[in-house]
Amino acid sequence: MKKPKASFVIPCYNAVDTLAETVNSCLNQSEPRIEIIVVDDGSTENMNYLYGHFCGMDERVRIEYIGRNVGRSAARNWGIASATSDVIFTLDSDDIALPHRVSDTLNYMKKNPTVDIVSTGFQIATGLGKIEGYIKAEQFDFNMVKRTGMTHIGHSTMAFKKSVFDKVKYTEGDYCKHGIDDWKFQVDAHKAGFKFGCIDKNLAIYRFVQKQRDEVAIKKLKDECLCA
Amino acid sequence: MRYSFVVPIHKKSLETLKDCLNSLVEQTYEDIEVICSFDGADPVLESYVDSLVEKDKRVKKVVGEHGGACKARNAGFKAITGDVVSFWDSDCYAAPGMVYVWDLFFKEDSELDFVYSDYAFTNQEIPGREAPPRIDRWLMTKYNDLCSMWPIRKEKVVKWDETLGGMQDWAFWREIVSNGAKGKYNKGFAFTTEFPDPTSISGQYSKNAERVKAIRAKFNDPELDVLVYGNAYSEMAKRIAKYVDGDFFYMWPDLYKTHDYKLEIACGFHGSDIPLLGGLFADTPSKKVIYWMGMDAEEFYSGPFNIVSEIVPKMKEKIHFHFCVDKTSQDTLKKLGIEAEIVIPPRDRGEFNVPLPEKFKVFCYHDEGYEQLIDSIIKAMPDIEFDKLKTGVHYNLSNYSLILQFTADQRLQDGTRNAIMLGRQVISNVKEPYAGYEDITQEVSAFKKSVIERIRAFQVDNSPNLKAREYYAGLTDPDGFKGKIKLIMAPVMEVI
Repeated sequence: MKKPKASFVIPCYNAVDTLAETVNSCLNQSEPRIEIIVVDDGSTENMNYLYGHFCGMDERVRIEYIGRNVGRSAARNWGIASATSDVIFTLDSDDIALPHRVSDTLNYMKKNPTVDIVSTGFQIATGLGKIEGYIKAEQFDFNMVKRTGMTHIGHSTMAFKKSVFDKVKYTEGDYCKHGIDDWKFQVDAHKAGFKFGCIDKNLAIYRFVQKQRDEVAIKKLKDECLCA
Repeated sequence: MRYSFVVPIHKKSLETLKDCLNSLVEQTYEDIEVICSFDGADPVLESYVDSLVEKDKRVKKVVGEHGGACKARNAGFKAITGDVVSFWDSDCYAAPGMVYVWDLFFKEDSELDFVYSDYAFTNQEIPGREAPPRIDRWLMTKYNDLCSMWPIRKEKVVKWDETLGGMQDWAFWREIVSNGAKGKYNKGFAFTTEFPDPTSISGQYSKNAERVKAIRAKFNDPELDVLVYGNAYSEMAKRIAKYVDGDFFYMWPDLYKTHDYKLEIACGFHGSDIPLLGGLFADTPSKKVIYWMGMDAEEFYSGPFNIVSEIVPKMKEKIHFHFCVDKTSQDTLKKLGIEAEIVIPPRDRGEFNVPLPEKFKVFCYHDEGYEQLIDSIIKAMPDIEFDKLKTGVHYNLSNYSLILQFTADQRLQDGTRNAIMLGRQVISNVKEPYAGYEDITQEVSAFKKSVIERIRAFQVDNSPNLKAREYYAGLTDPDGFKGKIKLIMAPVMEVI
């Protein structure tokens, strides 16, 4: 089989209610030469029906079994390490990649060869898939991050060259626990000298689920990272 | 295969006869013959038929002494050369492809003896007559759904009873069906006909009761104690009548009753029936039961106040028992001051011994408001086959392992209850025994995960819901229902 042009890395923990739509959105990409890596982070629910269904249906899908629950960051790192293409596409197990996400991103990267990390615009949807808003893509600006604490990058819109991973990994531990491991990855990548770009197009859907966040702990972690 | 039409002709307008015979000779199927059998000489009509005979070899003329339509039919039958015969009335106009369709049926099944359909009236304001999907011996003893026009293989034809003053087609078909003839229903209007004019035999309604008496005498029908009737729930009414060995009619049989029944059961109660309620509130010694079905109670409750307030006191006075099928109806009737007993319609246990399908399949029945929620569950389980209820499509619930029912009106649909009796699993938002209650108001993700988990569990287990089936078998046992009816009737038996 020819080397895929892109790799989706999808960490999955018990996503019985959303994984099917997510994987289907990857299978529906206009660019067919991709691999779809679902990293099973020690799911306790029986995911085999879904895993078996997709693997049996399409050889581009494979499951990486970690065997125990290690957390989202470690799962992502595991998946990226096993990717065989040169471009990694991140996707959460409840988000949707719109059909031209891969092709538009790869085209952009071809036209802008100095860019290492790309983000795009995305829609926000409810648990049932009703679209409630649109967030424009914004160029990563470290000064803005230091001021506001926000990177304005939708994690499920992000794609980066595999070479980024040689220097930057997702941070396990507290950053992962509080759900800001993606934020940290972006800041670490900037510090390591990688360049950001963005595509002003709607290429993903982010499923918004109300979650309790410990804002105090999060601020502390972000400050630690930004001051270092 | 040749199809022979025998058309008894007596005192019809020339225009009507022309249109009728044209509709036969212009059939797209060519191998037919038309025997015009005159019930007494008629120079005008005869000369028209003579001209037809000259032009078309398939038309023949038979003239006999006046003695009624049956005599003319019997005479015409002697002259046929075809394999299948249709006794066609001279004021009926066939659809051009009618015989073509009959031929498809007879060709497909060599054991088929007759075909029957629906028919319409030329006056389009009058609704057409729809035939029931099944006709059996028992039903033919209660009511005639077959008109003389339907095609029957000539070997199965019986003699038309010339002594009967009316309803000869009932006697004709009843005898044919009780001889074991097999018929099939072809849905659709096969022909249109003039509405019976008051001077014709079928138009003389006042004579109906005596004609029914004549038929019953001819076949030695015993006088039964129970009458069950219902137009909206006719299939259920027929079933109940069979269980309690009663008579069945579609509507209140003012015109057909040959005797007073000891017990009358109205299956379903509809506002549109109110003008015809004469019989229901009549002063007779019979006990009366209204069996509220479906949403009858709610529809009645929300009817025009003046009608409801006029009828409820009559009900309290004249109706001895009220049955209903679920708690929601019972509560609604209570609001009107009517006490109703919950009686789940009786079903024969044998109807439900259908094994689970080999492949796990799920049937979804839900209101529009829950569409997104159910769709998101279906999308989350692409390895499982789901079917959703679509209007106009018939589903056989025994082909499914699990039923999802989510409706705003939280009661078990008939289909779901039938599925439970078939031993199928159910997940619903209905708080009734064995309905598999799931709270649809909980948070979306929690709802999805819970339902998905339960579906997976049923998929792995794939065994029938025996406890549920037993529970409903107990509730729907026909013998239990019969016993209940006997108890109701007992006091009346003493009086009479």
